[in-house]
Amino acid sequence: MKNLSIITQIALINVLVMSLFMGIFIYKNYTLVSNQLGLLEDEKIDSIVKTLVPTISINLTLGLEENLKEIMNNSMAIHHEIVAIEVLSKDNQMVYNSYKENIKSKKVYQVALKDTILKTQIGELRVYYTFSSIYSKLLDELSLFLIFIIFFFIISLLIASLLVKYNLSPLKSLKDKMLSYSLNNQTKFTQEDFKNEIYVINNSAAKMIQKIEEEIEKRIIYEKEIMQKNRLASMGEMIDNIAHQWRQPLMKVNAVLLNLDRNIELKSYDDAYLKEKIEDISNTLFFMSNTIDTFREFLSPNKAKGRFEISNSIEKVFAVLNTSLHDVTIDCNKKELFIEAFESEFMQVIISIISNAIDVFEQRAIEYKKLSIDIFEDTHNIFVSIEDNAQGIEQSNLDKIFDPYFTTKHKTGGTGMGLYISKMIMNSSFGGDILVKNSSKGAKFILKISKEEVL
Amino acid sequence: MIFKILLFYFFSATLFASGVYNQNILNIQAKVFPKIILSDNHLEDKLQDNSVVLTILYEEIDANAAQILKKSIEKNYPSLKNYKLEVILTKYNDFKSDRLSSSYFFLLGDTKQITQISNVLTTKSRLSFAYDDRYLDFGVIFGLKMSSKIDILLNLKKLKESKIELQNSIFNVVIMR
Repeated sequence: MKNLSIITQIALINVLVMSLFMGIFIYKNYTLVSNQLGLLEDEKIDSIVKTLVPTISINLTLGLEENLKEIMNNSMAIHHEIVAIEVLSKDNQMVYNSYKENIKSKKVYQVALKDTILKTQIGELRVYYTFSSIYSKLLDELSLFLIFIIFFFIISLLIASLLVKYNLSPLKSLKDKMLSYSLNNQTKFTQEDFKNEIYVINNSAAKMIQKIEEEIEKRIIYEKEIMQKNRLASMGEMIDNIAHQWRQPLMKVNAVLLNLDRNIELKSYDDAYLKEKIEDISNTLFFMSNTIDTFREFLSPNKAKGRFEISNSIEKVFAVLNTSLHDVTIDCNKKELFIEAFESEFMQVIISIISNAIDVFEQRAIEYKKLSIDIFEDTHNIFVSIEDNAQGIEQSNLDKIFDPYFTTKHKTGGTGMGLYISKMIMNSSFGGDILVKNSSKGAKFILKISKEEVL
Repeated sequence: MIFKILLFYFFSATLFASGVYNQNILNIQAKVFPKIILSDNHLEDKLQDNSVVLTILYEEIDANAAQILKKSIEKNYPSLKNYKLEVILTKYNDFKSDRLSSSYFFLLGDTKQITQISNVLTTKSRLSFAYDDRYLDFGVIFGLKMSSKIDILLNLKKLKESKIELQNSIFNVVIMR
């Protein structure tokens, strides 16, 4: 019943209630009329018999049995409802009878015949009768009336159904729009000027959806702002990393140039020496250029969706975080799994988790730092598990680490947005999620990627 | 010769009687009329020695028919209700008004005599029945006519004059004249 549409339910209830009403109405009316006519008929027969009995009685009293034939034939000719008359003697012998039709299943009126002079019983009169024509006509009229009532009932039901359908059309339209609604397909919910309950619901829903859309728009803008902030923060970190990575090659270039300058002053150089130093500088600059390319690839805002291998992307993250990971042992199973998504977003998530691990290593002064990365899959999902050995997350913080602005790195300037954005990215771009739990060694993050979304 | 004449007279009288009277009508009248006597509400006043006395008036010539009718009545009604029924045969000429029976049956006779006797019976509130329904025109109260059915004819005027009160049920079956 709950799965049926409101229109069908109203129609069904209408049919049920009206049928019940009509059934009772017809039954009551038919019974009433039938009973009344039955009573009238009985009264009529009673009156006929009461006039017939004295005539038959006196004739029998006076021994005029020959007269019975005419009396009975006259009665049956005048009263069409009488189908047979039987006159029996005192000892139940048939004195006279007259049949117009078969008396089987006919109503019978029995009355004793008395000697009108001596007042003793002289026999019995049996009058067999059926419904009179008036009775039949009245019943026919009633039947016709009931047929008309049923006809009008069906018409009224149809009109009521059409009216209900017409009145509920805004709700139906609202339902269809809601079923096909999405933020992308510009579905418009219009408000009507009518004031009945249906239009009030329709208009309220339209207002509500309008408010929701406004709220979602605000939320999107807000999230974009957060993303931008996070990106800027990431860029700051990246620049820091670049600077860190460039420090050594720059020093190397500087040292090579100092040596070269000194040897030129002392004129203790030859072509082979120069060529070697230039090549040395060139190699160092090439390394620095590579470093820039790696960071640019990650930070590029307009990067298109593409197919990439998960382990390869994780390798790139290692390259980006190269300086921070120099004292961390990384155990990574390189299962070859390709997905189609925004690689920079995936890298951002991995960087966010590994960066957190690195920070916790520092905070807790972990001597032997280890990251275990495992890539595996089942029928519907791909999983990337990142586990550190930094003793795990405090139980009270486990439920909050994905909340926006939640951070434990106040001293080092954490924004509290990294894991929040990572979870958002996994939800929206990978059809998945990030789960976290404490293992025996430390924190274990599991990225779930829906195959349906990325393959 | 005298014997021959007597024999002729006897046979002709018998043949005449049998020829004039319809035996069926006589039989029906023998069955119907005594019952009507009982419908008289004041019958008790007209009893003789606690007997209902029905006198059949006849002409000499109808003696045989009168006898047949008497036997038929006596056969049909050994008694009437709680009363004994006595049927007496009286010639028209022997009718006497000083000692009247409970009721009278008129066989064929002289209309003048019938009128006279009827008038006497009317004044004495006695029921009278006629073999011939035309006698109702001469003051007899009840007659009977047989066609496809049997009609009992009633001379209502004479009934009223005679002040005889009959049971109502009789009026369901009679035809007023």
